[in-house]
Amino acid sequence: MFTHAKMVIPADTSHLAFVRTVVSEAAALNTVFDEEHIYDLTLMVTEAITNAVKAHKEAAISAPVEIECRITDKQASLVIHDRGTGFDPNTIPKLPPVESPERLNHESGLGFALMEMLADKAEVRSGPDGTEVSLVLYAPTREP
Amino acid sequence: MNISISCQEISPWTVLKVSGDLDVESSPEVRQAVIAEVASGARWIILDLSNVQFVDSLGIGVVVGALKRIRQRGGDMRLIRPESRIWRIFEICAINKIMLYSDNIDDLLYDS
Repeated sequence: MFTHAKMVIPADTSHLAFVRTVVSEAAALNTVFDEEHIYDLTLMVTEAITNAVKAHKEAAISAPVEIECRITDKQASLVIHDRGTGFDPNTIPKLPPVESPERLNHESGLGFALMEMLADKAEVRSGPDGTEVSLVLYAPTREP
Repeated sequence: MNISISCQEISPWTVLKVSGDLDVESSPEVRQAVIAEVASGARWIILDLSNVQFVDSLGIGVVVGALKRIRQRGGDMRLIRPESRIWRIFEICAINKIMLYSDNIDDLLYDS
């Protein structure tokens, strides 16, 4: 089964719940994805859109954010495209070790790391005209 | 906003129960609720996330920030876990290694 959903939303996090509903319903149509995979998809799309909205606000851009969700028997893929001024993915700070007292100073900045940890494949293309985040989650392999 | 917060005193503990989505939209409200409790003297807080349906990185940031504020004042915070698909995310962020948690409030009230 192939499901494709494309959403164009205002750069505002108040639309996140709607996007999560669309993504989770699209993934649930394909029975290869279990509850945990569907949750991970909704979390990844939330983190990517949160970053996109922030990029638009920082650049005072009123353009919408575009989201594409494709679900097949083999994988679920998300593409989130913003029109912000871009960033260098290599400059994202890494979290200190959990045993470090510094760890409690990190209330934010976890989003990108979470996306990378959850996705089987994560790609970021960023430039002065915007950022495109592509995230892929492979379908769980079934026992023969 | 899809969130509600209730507060219950079980001395010396203050139990804050959060229901709904703990995300970028609602995290300021939850953060403010914790700050208000700490400002009014609460030092021992149990954050009950058993009715939470979704948590993002900013929601986890609220938990980390609350823990930091309370420990800076000589207190502590404990967690009633959300459902397993959400708790996995807390484990990925290693929250399970920096605070006490349980599925059962009695474990947290009486574990010194």
